[in-house]
Amino acid sequence: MADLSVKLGDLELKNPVMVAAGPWTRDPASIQRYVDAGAGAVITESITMDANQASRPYLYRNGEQIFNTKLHSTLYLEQWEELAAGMDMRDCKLICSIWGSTVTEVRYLSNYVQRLGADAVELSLYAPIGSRNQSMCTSAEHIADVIRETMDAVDIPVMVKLPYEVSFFPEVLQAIYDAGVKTVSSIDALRGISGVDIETATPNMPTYGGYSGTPIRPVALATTAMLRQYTPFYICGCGGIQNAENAIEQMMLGASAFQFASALFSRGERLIRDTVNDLQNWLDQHGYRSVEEIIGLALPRMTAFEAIPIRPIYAVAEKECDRKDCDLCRQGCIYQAIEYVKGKGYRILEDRCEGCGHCMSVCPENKIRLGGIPPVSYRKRN
Amino acid sequence: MNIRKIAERAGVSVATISRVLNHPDLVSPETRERVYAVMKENQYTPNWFARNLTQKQTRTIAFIYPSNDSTFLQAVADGVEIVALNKKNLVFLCHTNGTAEMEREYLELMVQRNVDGIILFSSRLPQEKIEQVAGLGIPCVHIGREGADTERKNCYINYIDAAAKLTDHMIQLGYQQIYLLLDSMLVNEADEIKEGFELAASKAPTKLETDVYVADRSMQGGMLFAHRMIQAGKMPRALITSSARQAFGVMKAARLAGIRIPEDLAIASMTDSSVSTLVDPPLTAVDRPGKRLGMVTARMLFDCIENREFATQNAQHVELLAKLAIRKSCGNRKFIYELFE
Ligand SMILES: Cc1cc2nc3c(=O)[nH]c(=O)nc-3n(C[C@H](O)[C@H](O)[C@H](O)COP(=O)(O)O)c2cc1C
Ligand code: SF4
Ligand code: SF4
Repeated sequence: MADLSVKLGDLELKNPVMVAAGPWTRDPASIQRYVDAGAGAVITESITMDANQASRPYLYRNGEQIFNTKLHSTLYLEQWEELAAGMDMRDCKLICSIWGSTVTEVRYLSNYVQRLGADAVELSLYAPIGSRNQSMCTSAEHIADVIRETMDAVDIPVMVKLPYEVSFFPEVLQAIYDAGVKTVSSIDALRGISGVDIETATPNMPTYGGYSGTPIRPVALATTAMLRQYTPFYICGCGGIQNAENAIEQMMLGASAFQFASALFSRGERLIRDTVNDLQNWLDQHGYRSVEEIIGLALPRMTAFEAIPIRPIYAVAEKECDRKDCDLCRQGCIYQAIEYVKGKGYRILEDRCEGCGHCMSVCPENKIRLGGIPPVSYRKRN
Repeated sequence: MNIRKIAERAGVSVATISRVLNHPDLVSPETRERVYAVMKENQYTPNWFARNLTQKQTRTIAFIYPSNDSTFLQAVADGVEIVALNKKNLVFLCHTNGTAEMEREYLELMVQRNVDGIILFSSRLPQEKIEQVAGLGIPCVHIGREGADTERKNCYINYIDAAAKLTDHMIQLGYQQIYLLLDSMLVNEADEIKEGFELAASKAPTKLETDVYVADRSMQGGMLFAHRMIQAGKMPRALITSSARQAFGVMKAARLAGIRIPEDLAIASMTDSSVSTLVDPPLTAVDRPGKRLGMVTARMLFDCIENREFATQNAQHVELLAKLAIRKSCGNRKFIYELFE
């Protein structure tokens, strides 16, 4: 049986399955459910100095797209303290997410949650919801100050929740690293508005929301890959993860552990149990001895954009097609390189094809592939 | 030696150590014994868990504050009471009308009542008096920045930052003549507001014409000020008042004189009010985290009452930031009706 334990900075997790900060971890009783389901670590909803009232509704779902306007925990610190006493974390790690508007506030809170029994603190630097004041990402120096004060206030590891919007700034990442942070959770929800009812000119939600769920998974994957390539952080991948397969993708791009967030709206704590099992089975079936072996495994197969070889390939119709009812390949070819000839079906005009790949990706029947040598006329041009 | 190392050596989580110290009954006897053994071996004494139980407690605290005539102060008192109630404590609410005599009288009454701790809001008492209370072993936490260089524990809103933000907002709207109206009752806050105002003005892209006046914080104060300015022909293009009520007074006087807001006079206030959105045009104002201020202060006090070591190890001063509630009186033309920044 493959070993599931992972090292996450100074934390040792029994498995890489984590639960992200959010209302699903709003209180100790909710956290206990994920502990009982076998999670390696659970992160509390972000705890603040004053309990926020939740707006109602705070969740706007549009298929796989999930938007929320929920900001921070609704419990007072004293309630957390009282309730935490009854919690049995066993071998699961408790990470307390905190948010404060100033260095001194964050310092106070981090000390408080350490006293509550946190194994680590996660600093929430930013929220896609609310005013700019909500954000601690004003400058690299400010972030570094907050982190240094927090480190000074507690003995436990300090992690940072790194929003997508910040993951691009080398000076911010450097400041976070220099301040002593070893682990980052990335990404937070993006900022989004679900849509506008154009008949009444009214947005579908009253304010900006956090945008999460399956559609943001590619953004999260890219962020993980980038962080892994450019920084020495341990990464907790988060964003759009729905199952063990998605989790393995995250780890193969460099995450040491991963977090479930809005997927819990679909499957609850069962998701944790299933993922631990599925991950174990997958690793065993593929002959891995430890889950840590897959961290970053796919990265060497990535290529820099600049290094992608330019190959003279174009579309080739592998099978004949006469499906006028579909027509997706023809409609989608911006080079007008596909035509329909009555009686003969679809044809690729090789001298026009630029090999962009759209038709191949869009064909529901996999009838088109890229390959071949370019037509003579193509080579002649220019 | 720290709690994490103890956890590592005992092979348990930090949470378990915390439970062993706070609620040993909830931990299995074997684990408990193992943790105790590791702690003993490493000579680890977790001071900040040791509750101060030697003293008899009355489970009451006092909140001594200048007046209860503003939504802000009510929010602060609300925050204090929430934490006190969470801690199963009662609060004596004592309001002093902003006078040092009443403050002293309340302080003495509260000491006689054996309260476990005292919160002083913008105290006007001399340092000796406060030290005297401290000498009796009664913890005190202050609201307000003053005395931040002393041993005092305090929690405060950063008015320099708030005033700078509001002034900067007015500068961004393009005003080149911005005056500040201070509150004659305030001392320390007024200095901070002025500092923030001047700081932002000094960073303005073009040279600003600024001036600073003082008036009573009431609506009457604002009206009188405005009348005088209008008569003297000195009303500026943009004005920042210290209180929402001053702003309402100015708006009333302006209306009587046919001055349009914000077209002729843009106005914004350093404090918000529950009726800011009801006046026409709605008042742009600084939105202070009153409830949070009350809660944090009360927590700092309870940290001292319950657990002196933790309190000293934890923050001595906690600073909070205010937001801007950008409405219409400042001339903001952005589309979102009420914008918080
Ligand atoms: C309703 C809701 C509330 C959230 N609250 C928090 C929070 O309090 N603190 C935090 O750091 N992240 C919070 N998040 C962000 C999630 O932890 C996670 O980073 C984000 O949803 C992306 O992951 P996902 O696509 O798997 O949902 C929240 C997300 C949702 C949907
Ligand atoms: S590869 Fe691109 S250019 Fe070529 S046929 Fe397909 S869609 Fe058109
Ligand atoms: S997309 Fe595929 S199935 Fe559809 S018309 Fe083109 S070749 Fe046929």
